Amino acid sequence: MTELVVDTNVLFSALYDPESPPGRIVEFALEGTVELYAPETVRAELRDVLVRKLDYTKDEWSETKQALPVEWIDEPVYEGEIEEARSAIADEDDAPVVAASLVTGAPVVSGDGDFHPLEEAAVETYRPRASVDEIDGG
Amino acid sequence: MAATTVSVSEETRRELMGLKHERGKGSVDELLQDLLVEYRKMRFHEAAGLFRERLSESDLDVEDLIE
Repeated sequence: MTELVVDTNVLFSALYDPESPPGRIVEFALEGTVELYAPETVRAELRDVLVRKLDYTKDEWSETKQALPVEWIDEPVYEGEIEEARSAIADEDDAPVVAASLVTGAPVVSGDGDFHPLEEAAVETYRPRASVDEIDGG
Repeated sequence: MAATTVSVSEETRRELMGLKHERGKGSVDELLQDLLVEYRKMRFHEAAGLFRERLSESDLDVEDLIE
């Protein structure tokens, strides 16, 4: 099974437009074709934005979290890779995504330009459309 | 894959067998797998609907959320 690490923008874009490439990636995961991972920082950022900016209630956040087919990776699992990850990406906030990729061996899917390309880490990165093409082609 | 037993009423069993036949599935397990995928998709589309609804009620664009 294809495994991918996704960042926050992929999940927001999927929720905004399920027919978009990020939405297709989530759909592949719902069908069991791919396995999606994300660090807990992505879950925290999603929660923060949905509750603070879009007034989600606790129950609405809980339902949304359950609807996303993502295996969340806790910090202790990837903290050993965080230094290498920090040296590979300009925005330190994105380092946990890179670290999650290093620990799982799964490529990163992101629409964020900071991920393309990563020069210092042995991490593969895809933009969402390229990832969909790869899965469809495989 | 290892199999296990699930207890259901006679009426539920009849309905599952009817649906299995209707959808041309080889087994009830195959049917239930399909129904689970449909349920997961429905739940995701409900979450997406809520997200778009809240976004339209705010003065924000999806790009504003992706900092």
